[in-house]
Amino acid sequence: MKPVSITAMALACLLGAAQVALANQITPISSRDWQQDQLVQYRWKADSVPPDWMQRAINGAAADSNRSRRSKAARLGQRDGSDSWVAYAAELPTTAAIAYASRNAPETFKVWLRTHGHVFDWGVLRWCQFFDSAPNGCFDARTAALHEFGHVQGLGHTSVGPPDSIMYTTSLQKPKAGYDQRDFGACDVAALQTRYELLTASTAVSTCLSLGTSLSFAASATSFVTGGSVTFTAGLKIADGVAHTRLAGDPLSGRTVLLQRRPVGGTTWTTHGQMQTAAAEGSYRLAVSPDGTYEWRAFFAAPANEGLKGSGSAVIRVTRQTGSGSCQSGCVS
Amino acid sequence: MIAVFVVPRRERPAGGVGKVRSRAPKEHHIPRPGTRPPAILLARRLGPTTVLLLMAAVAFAVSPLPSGAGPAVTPADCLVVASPSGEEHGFAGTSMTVEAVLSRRGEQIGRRLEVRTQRGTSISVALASDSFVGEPRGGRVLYAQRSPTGGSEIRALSLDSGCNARLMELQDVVRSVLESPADGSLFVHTVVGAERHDGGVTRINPAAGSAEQVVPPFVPAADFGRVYATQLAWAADGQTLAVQSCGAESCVTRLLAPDGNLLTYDTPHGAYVGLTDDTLIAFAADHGRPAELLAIDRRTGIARVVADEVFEAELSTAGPPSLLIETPAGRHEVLP
Repeated sequence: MKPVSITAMALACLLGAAQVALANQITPISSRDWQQDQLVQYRWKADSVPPDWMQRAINGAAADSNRSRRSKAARLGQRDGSDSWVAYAAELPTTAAIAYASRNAPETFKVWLRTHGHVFDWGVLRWCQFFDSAPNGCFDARTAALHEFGHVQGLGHTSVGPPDSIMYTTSLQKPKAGYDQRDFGACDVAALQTRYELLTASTAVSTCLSLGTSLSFAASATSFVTGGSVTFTAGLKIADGVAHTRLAGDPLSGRTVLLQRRPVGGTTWTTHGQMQTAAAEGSYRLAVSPDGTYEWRAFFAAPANEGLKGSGSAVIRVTRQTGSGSCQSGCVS
Repeated sequence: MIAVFVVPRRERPAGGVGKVRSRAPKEHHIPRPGTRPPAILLARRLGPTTVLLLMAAVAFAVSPLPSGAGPAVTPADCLVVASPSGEEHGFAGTSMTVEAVLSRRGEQIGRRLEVRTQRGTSISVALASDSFVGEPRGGRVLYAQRSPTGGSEIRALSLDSGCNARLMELQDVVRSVLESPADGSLFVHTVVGAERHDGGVTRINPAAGSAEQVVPPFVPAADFGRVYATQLAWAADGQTLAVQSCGAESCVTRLLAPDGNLLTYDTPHGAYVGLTDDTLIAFAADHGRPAELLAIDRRTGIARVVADEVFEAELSTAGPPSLLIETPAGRHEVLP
């Protein structure tokens, strides 16, 4: 990452504008996909088997990828006999890297980690995991492997540095901040989510995104008699018109959806209660016993920890029936 | 006669890179053998106080063959001159491998150069990790390794006889060596000092005993980062030298024309593939593979994409230039 970018990013965070700033920094991603949730396994390349400490780092990175992908990106794991492989080698397809990846999705990938002790023009490569007490200047092999697994997933390089991306072009040496990052950054996850969709409907949307949402809203009745109840249901989803079409219309579960009301003709909404998650993905419901005629809506406030915009539903008026006259259509008691 | 001599350490000049920068053509003083004493030549170019020229009484420091090896060799056996065409005529049956030597814990503690000569001799050369081994060419392999004095020595290993001769010694660390197919002079890239700054490329003509810096040290821009590797390669004409310095993000390629003119290409690009009369072929700035393959106009520095999603690429200049590329769709040929 360029120092200027780091400074700009830090300032944006301080100003509370991190989400906006990051929204334009989604890690680039290849158009060649693995299948959603595809299990892609790798073996150790026969003539380039990593030493134990490096194997642990690589397998740890695969676990990091699986845990932090927050999408249906490929799942990675080590298994002998697999077509994909990871090598620990002195020679890589490029002379200018400590690690390298080549992917041929959705079939196979190859990853190389350079040997500890290899000499570049600038000096000697040291992996932190080689040491009992890692010295400054070493590279974290697990972070480097996670970076390469990011390439395997299709992620390209970015000028956004840690913690927002692990796909920063230049690997960081101890003790620089982020040299040992264990997760994909928010902007890496954003790319994976736009390509592979959310892992589940309740998976948090990356803060590197800023997606519109939409709320459908319905009432079990539009009128009631005193003492009756009305059940409101809402459906929260990513808006159909978002730029990342693969996410468009995806349901959003487990969010905070509020049921609000206002007097007829009023302008101020009052929260009546939080709607509860229903069985169907993205569905919420709440049964209420109104004490009068109100206009109702569902409301979703933009969460601070997700890249989602807030939204409000259409308004439904639910009228209290008075007197003993026959109930109109939709009336409950 | 090939002299064993020492090329002294150089100072780092200031400099920078531009879009496509051209250094004005200048006269190169490549002396003919015997026109001036080599010591004077070096003194004129490198400064008399720093030059140490060892016109060794012996032309070679010839290492003995392993015990039990094939026929005895003489220093003359090492006089295998690179063929102008660079072809390997007459050296069938030879082989060469370079492998990293790892400790039990997986640390690279050296390299091993294994050669099987035409005479059937197997030779193993232990090298430090910080060493260079070139491609076999003209019946010999050039390699460089750290010398006991802290600098580097460049040696030639004959694929015919197995004779192993020290050609020269430099006080800086030699990272790569490329032999001129035209006159056998050596283009040597070095790094300098404890910080291992780029030392540029020096042309050394062992026959004439001359040394001259022909490509200045690469001074990366602030956002380039450290130089990971430097590659030397000849254009198909064998006249233009490509010097590619690569950082973690991208590379800068400098082209040294026969007249000494130096053009710098810093249009973002990655690994060097080849050079035609019109274009520099390189991968896009290195983001792993597959990657775009670029053709950078040598006049303007403007890059265009030749092919997407390329795993491997090889430039053929046997006829009209063509590129053999490997993509997810398979191997096929494209025009640069």
